[in-house]
Amino acid sequence: MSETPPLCYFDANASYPLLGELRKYGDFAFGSKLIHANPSANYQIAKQNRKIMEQGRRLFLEALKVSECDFKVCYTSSATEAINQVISSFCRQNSKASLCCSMIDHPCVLCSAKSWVSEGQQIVMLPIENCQYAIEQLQGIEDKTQAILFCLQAANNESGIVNDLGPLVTHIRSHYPNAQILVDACQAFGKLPFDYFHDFVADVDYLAMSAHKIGALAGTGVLLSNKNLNLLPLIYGGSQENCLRAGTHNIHGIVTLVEAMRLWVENGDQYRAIIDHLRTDMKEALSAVEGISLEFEDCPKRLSNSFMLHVGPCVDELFMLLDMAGICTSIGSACSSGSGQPSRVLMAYGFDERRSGECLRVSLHHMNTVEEIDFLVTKLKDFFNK
Amino acid sequence: MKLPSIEQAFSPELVEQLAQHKGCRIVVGMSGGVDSSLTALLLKHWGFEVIGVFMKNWQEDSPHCTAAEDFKDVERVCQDLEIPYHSMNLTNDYWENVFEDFLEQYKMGATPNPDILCNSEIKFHRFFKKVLSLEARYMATGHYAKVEMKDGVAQLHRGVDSNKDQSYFLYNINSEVLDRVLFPLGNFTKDQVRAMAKEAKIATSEKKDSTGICFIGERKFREFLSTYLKDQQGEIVDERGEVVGEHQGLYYHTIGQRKGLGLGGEGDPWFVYDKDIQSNQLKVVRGHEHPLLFCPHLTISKLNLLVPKDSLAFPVKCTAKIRYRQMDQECTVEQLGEDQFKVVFENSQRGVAIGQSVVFYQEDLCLGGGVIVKRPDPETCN
Repeated sequence: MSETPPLCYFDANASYPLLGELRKYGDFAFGSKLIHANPSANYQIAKQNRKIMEQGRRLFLEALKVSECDFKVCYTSSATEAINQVISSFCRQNSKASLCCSMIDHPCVLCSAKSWVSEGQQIVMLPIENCQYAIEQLQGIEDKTQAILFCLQAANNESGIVNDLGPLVTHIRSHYPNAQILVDACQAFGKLPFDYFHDFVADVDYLAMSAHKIGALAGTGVLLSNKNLNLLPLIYGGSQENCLRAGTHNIHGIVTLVEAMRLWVENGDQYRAIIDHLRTDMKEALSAVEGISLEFEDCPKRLSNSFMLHVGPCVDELFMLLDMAGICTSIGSACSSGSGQPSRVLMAYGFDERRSGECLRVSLHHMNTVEEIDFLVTKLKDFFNK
Repeated sequence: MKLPSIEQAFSPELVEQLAQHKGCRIVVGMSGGVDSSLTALLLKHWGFEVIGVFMKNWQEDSPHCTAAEDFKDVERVCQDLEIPYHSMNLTNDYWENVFEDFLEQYKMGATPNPDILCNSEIKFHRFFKKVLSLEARYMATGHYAKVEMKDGVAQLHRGVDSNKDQSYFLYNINSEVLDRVLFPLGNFTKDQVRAMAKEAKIATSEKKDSTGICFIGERKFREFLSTYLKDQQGEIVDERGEVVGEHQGLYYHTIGQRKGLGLGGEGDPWFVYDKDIQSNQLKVVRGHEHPLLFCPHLTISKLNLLVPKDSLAFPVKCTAKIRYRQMDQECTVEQLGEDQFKVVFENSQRGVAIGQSVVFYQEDLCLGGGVIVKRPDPETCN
């Protein structure tokens, strides 16, 4: 590939053109258009990038059926950043307030919330019962009129359980007049029809999602936020995103995110139908494997792509053997010493510590094949037959 | 230093056995240290399919636990060697089978060795089983010890580096695992291992050897124990029964120990010669060579043999170590009961503590060993 960019580009101090082979990433998804340009610059190709970003914002709002009069869409580096920003902004504007989280939350919620306890904020835990939030059992909030940030998860990454947020959001709105509601939509986005969100999204204040969970490049997230609330930045130092998120845009990531979003809007039903079929095949095949049992199968609302296999104390060996066969699955929650450890999320769903460390997660995407499922099941059978 | 050939690492019988499993899969138990790293490198160099597996035994929320850093080192080494690697979580097994026993023993005033138990209960038992289920023919570790074949039976021998030999820590493993276990470093000295690792540019070649018990790390033992055991103050008395001080708990002290008594005064330093659990008294004498610090014999139990039982006819004359790195001590082992053996030493032994392991050797062959359950009353020698 030629080193010379096709344009007469003299703005290397804004963004240096991509080098060598990297250029193909710059041309990714949009034919010959050069997207390395810094979206904050003012020439045509930069404006082109801004246009893509704006298209993306509109796509989100349209898919969720909310108006740009009420909500704004902000690009971040990740859903983790988006969630940290909401929690930080809320805590900075509300002293001695409550953060309502649950044990099924992602660490970006729990750790971020914990970091505010020393500043006088309190954390209250939303109980989980029968695999759903049990807000009637919420304790620790004496004054329901106080400022509370409810952090709710749309779907859980480990169990695949979909939380019934419609009635929950209605309950919060009628009982907690000064509540703000943040929805972590990372796992639900795409995997569920957008109708799921239409039930409640207009009544929440924030919604965060992540590019790599829907098939775009990692390194980008989106934060949808209520325009009537004063969301404060987490990162300062530039006017990007209307001063809500400083720092040069990850334009390559954003472009892939917008394209992935478009694909889900146009083809989501088809993708999900494929996954439903794969699920049926997989479930049938797994039922023939002695030595494993499927968890959460009785829960009415689950992501169709998610399986939790209870495999027993041999989980590490099984995981390794599958890995060596080129089969990627997941165990427990990853920790920094590389092994799985008992998942606190599964424990929150009522598993004891031992059982929660004996499970293997298998999650499908629509490009999986029946042959791949057969391969996995054969490997599982081989393992347990020994 | 050039990498050695397989013939330089193993005995001819073992080399022959390995030749029958040419290129087989071998799992290396990796700790992130230089020894296990070189073990993996050598086995790969000799043409085996090597998989590195890190064993996680301790929850890493303690600032003293180096599991996360150690795993990073395993990762670096395995990436450089281009071998697959994994981490295996054995924290529950370790807690239940090693740590609880360790605490229990301490509470009873004994001086257990968790590293020995870790080898027999975890590394060469539970971990070993898991490893073999990965379709591996052998498990290898970086221990300084040797497996030698005699008449088709695998035996444990000392490593050639007498300063590093780790057979003491291995005496309690099940002898049946030995023919599926490899110690590729047993024929080399630590200096040679470092030199080879350096030459091969192994990322951890300069890493310091870990010292002490793995879950305690580099912190003070007393500080560690105090998080699990309550202080139990009692008297420190001398050989005449005179109270000379106060201790915070018998478990902080071991027989023969000088440090941490907090006793001063003029004269020779004080040493622990006995612990009386009933009266919660710590008994001390002055002088490193005081006769009360010495035992002519002791009783062991939980005998684990690494050689066929019928190859030994009691009383057995052999040598013994009552602690790691101790010089070999001539002794005779007599059978007292089903699992009771009296060890009579040619020279009285200093600092004999209940719970310590005694390991027996004939030349370089490790016969096995047991745990000290009784020592003679220091005052009466009975």
